Amino acid sequence: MNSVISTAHLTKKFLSSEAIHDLNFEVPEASIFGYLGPNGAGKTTTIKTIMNIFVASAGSATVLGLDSRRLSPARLQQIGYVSENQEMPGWMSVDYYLDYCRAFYPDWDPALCDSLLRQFDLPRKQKLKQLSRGMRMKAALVSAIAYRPQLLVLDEPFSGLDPLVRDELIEGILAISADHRWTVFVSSHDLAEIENLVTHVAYLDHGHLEFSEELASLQARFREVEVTCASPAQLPAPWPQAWLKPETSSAVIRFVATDYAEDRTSQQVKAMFPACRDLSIQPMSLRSIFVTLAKARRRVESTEA
Amino acid sequence: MNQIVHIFRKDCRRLWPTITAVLVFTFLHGYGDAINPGGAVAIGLSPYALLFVLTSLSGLILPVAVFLLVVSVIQEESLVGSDKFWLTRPYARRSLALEKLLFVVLWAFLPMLLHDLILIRYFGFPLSSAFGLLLWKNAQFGFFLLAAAALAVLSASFARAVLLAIAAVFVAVLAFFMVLQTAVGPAVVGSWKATYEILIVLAVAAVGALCVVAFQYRFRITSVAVAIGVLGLLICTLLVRFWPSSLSAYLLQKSESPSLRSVQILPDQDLKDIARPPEISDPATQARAAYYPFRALGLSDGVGVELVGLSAHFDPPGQKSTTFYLAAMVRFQPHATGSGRFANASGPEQLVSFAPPFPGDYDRLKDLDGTLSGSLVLQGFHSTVARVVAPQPQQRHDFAIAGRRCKVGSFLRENNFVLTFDCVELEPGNTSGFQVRLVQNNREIMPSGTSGQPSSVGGWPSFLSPITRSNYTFEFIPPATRIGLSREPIDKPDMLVFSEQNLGAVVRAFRIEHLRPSEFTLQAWEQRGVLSAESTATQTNGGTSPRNQ
Repeated sequence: MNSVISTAHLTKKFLSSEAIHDLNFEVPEASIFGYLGPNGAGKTTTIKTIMNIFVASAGSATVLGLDSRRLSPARLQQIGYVSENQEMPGWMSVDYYLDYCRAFYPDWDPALCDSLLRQFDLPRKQKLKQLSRGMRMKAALVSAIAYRPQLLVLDEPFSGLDPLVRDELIEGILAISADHRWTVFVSSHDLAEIENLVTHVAYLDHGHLEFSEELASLQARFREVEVTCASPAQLPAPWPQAWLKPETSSAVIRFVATDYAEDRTSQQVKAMFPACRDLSIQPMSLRSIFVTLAKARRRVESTEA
Repeated sequence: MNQIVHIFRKDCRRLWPTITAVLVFTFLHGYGDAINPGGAVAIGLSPYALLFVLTSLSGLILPVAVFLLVVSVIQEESLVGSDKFWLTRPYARRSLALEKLLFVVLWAFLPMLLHDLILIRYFGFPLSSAFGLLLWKNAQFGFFLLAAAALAVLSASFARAVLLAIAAVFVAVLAFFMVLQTAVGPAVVGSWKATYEILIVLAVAAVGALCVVAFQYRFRITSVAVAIGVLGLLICTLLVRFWPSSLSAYLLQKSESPSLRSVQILPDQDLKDIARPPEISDPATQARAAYYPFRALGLSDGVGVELVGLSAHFDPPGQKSTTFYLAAMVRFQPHATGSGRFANASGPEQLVSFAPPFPGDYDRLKDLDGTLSGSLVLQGFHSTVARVVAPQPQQRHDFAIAGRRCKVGSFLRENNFVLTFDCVELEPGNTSGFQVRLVQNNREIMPSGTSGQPSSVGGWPSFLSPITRSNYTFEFIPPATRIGLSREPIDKPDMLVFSEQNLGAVVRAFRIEHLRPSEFTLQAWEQRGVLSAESTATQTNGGTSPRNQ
């Protein structure tokens, strides 16, 4: 499978502070790639570096097969970009804004544009500055989709939107990307809002990439494990590194397995807890996985400190 | 090309109020130049009063409006900040830069050029004679636009562009004064030395601004662009600091007016019958001034030179060298009897006064025999005279003299005859003197009072207008009133109008051996019988001095 975006040791520093460090990931073609992490993790910096808004301090990024520093107008005609922070020309009406953007894209599809305007119920004559935040995001999305880009980059597109608008946007993106096999790169700090949207996921924390993989594989390898013993139990040493967040409560031991494989994990548990009476293994939500990872990282940092 | 037109249309739609303001104030500025509301005072809230106020303010508002237009159009697609919507759209940077250029040329540069051409034709000056002026004036205007563009590409809003401009001016002024404070060598009178420095510094500044703009449009790295701008300022400062005076002198010599090339000013101790120079206005300077006779050679008809400054050192043997400066300006011109073109009395032989800056220096040096040597800075001028019939009271008529067009009117004020002149010439104005006499019954009547400025003083900002305007008033007392007899009214007189054109500066070296300051005072020359009974005065404009008959 071809990569639409790939980064190699991508690093960006602002003076002495490193916003992103040595990022290596690939966004497969036709995937919906969720780029996740808490606020301040470096998601927007990564996207701006990929879009050649920032110049990388080290490493490189390739977008649609081209070095991001050489993104030409022709290549930008194949990329749609929507960001929560993007300054839009507020003095333009929705109609004029779309008409203005249209001239830059030979593949602009007026029918798709009209259909999106209807779908999003946008007031055509109103100025952008008079629109609510949600409406402005919708207008930005229409202007980024109407030319059927190969790659759609969304930087926190749902941040601060009410649930109804957010669902409309997600449905719109899902429907369009499914129809046209577009690649969507979407960043968010809110896991729940994109859990049902993404096919691939990467997690960034403090500028470091924790992992980047297919959502199905991620969810398959994370499990919440609960072991019930006959008598109150202690955590055995050494504790496996792949088992995070261990907790004991009387005779019950809980942890998160990050390398879950049905038979192997069961055997490992039995070997660690011979007096084990009962074993419960539960799949985890994306949100639970990230919370576990974030807490584990914090614990490691406080131990190192 | 399509993209250029597309963005251009968007910018026009967005910025039409500012475009309108620039066009309206360009028109008002031209209208003000044409009708010269100058002396009139409009009272009340009439439309005329509003027009008068706007016309008067257009010289201030127009540069601000043009600055606002340039900054606004560039910041429509701001090159500073990472959240601008255009950054992720398929804009071709070259198209964007060309669009901005097209916009500025079409809405700022061309209206101003058109304004210039219309004014030049309106006042009847041939366009061919105004070519150099237009080139120079538009180069200045282009520099202003370029500076505004450089500020715009380094800032994200108009307010920040203004703050940046203030900071740049502050840094430049600070650097300039620091440089002047530490500059080596005597500070020779400004203008002649500064001309080429200013031109070169402006050229370097323009190249720096162009580099900043081009760099930002190509690479969009603001910190580096700011560094380029600061480097440009630094280079300008260093240029001023280390500009070789010899290069200025060389360039000055190369550009000397042909009328002044043959002029020589030589010290000559044996001169006789020199007109007595007027006392120096400052008695302390008079007390320590040494005089020496100089003779001007090679002055052609109608051409004179005024000694306006000097760079000289007095070197007594075995003593430290001391700087001397010019104590009073002196005018050299052909004998008045040989030419009726000059309004002021003077001649080719004059006493020139030198003085050390401090009384202590004079006391230390006055009895020492030393050598005074250095350079004389001379301002050349060409004097023209025209005899024109004076207008009757409440009438006006036009006349031309030495490349300037004048309207002259007259009225009576308590029996005095008052002439008002409204003169126009092409920028940069070079009329350094303008004087008028009345002639009635073969008798010359001197003005009792005058007002007005020489056009060579110039206006600011000079790139706003292709013409420079001077207004003069001359009041004449009827001769009979002055001597207390029955009044002889001034009736249908002729005017003698004297106009002096600046020919630029020249520098001449000089050397005087065996100068002992205490033996070369004015009184000493008087005792030697070198001075004639006649005295001379050297006012250069609006003069009230008598003219030799």
